Amino acid sequence: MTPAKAASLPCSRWLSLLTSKRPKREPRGGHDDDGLPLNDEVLLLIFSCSLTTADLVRCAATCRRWRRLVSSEAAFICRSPPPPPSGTRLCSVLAVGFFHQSLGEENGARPPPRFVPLDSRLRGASLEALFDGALFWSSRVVASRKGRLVLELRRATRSAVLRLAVCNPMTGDVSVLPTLSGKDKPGHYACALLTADDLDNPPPPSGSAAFRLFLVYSRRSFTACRSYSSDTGAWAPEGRVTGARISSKRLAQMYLNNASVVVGGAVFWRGKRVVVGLHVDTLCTTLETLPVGYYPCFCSERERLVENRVLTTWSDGRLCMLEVDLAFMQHEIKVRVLFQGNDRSWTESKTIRARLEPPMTERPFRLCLRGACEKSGVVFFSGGSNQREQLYALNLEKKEVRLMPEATAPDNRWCGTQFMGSFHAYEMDRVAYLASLGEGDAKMAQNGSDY
Amino acid sequence: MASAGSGDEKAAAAAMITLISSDNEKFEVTEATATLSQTIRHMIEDGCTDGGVPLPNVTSKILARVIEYCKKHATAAAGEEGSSSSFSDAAFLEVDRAFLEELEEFDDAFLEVDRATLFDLILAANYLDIKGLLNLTCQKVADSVKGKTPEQIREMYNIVNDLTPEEEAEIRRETQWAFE
Repeated sequence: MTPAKAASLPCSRWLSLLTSKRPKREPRGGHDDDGLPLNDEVLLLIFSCSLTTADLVRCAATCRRWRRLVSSEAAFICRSPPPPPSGTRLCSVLAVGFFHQSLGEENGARPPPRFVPLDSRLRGASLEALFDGALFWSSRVVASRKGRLVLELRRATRSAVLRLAVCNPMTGDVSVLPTLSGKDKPGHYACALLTADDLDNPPPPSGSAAFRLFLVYSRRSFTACRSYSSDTGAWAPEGRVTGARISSKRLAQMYLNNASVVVGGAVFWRGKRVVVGLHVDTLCTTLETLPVGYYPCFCSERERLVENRVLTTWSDGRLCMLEVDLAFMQHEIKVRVLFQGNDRSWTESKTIRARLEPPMTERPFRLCLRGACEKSGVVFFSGGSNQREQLYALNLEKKEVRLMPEATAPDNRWCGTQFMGSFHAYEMDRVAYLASLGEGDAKMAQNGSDY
Repeated sequence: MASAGSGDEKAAAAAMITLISSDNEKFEVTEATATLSQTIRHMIEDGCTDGGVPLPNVTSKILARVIEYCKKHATAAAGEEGSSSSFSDAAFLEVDRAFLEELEEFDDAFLEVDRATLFDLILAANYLDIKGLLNLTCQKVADSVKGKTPEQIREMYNIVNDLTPEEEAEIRRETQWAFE
């Protein structure tokens, strides 16, 4: 399929792009006897025994029944965590990329976000159908995690109500959450989206589409937290957090940095020189001060300095902080990865070097971290001068840097002022990916055998 | 091995349960051994084990193996309870560790069976609801498919490939990364 052709397909989800040309299949049901004397229930238990995503993909390619089970029961299978990574990370075949939202207005409203995938085969895919209609105009992406986007819908002023939507562009699922208004409306807030495999306690939501959303915000005399569960379809009553108090100023920083990371039942956000943690079962917050950067840890952005760091998880699941610098006459990028030691201080570190091809030539050099994808280990950074800034994708594991073609840039240029607050690294999640392996079957079930 | 109900169990003077395999062989086991199976535990609680428990889905060959597993693990469970009620002194911990190692060795040896027997054990563990045995046997199968190609998996388990060549080629193309 050529990108040009893909672009013309009216699709509300990318997956249909990948599957729209599947060959005609036998009608589903009663046709997937593989000769194995084990029933579905038992086979699912086997798939749940800490297999890697790659193992599961190969299982799905074994026969129809296995494909059906891996795809339709992906949420159940992924409930048990994959084994400690042995190097098998998801790769670019997964939809990895970023959402970009222009800050400018068209016809008095901010256009919906736009997806730029790393994989050129997906470049032609358009989300216009998904983001069609008035709902997403003037919306703002406030979080991107686990293959979902959290969008704030039409929030003209802080005095208006807060209406959030969670959408999975891969499956086309959109949930508009109940409005928080009046005394329920938070002021400055930070949010985090968690899915079934993030949570052990409280009981995880069920189903591959299930999620919970946590909001942390400031009340006059305390810091509050509220969660939404897709199971109940409602917001839980406001809770009061214990531990460190989070100021409105801090919340505003967390909101702008927008990337939250979940490790061991706790959500982490980055504020200016701090990492804010929230243990979701106890609603206890922690505040950890970051050391002074080893590399220049600020970069100028719209005539002001912003912290040049990204919070993410390392391949072994540990929380880590990334800093970047240039080396070897701008021919190389250095990424410093900071971990917390046993005393919770950010001291432990390692350095990753990758060759920049082509080297950065535009002066003055500036380098800005834009975001990271946890599972695929892809880090986005931009570099160059204020006049000409280019976007790069670095694969931490392969230590490879790729220059994103200018054609994928908004207005055909990567420019600092266009970026601010509107860059959201995105990757499809494991459950959605495995579920997509049986996409043809699901479609047939919906459309009958004429597919 | 099928000669259950031998000396040591009688000496324990515990309540005995009779299990009857699909081929009508009778196995007498202690309640502690039998209740590793949630299915049988519920039957005992409901008081419907008089005259033996018929297990029409389990052959005598498999039932003997399952009982072997349950006996070993029931002893282990009893041992654990015993040690936790007494004060945890170093000597006790040492005994515990030795016992756990022994149990692990037993499990490893227990899994040295052919594929057909392994499947029968899984089905029996599922039917009898013996969590430990089910996990152990399922993990064994899961371990065997790790890092294998679909062809190798099919060959290993005699799986009929009902995907058309086009479908197979397409799955390969879409998930190339998993085959590298």
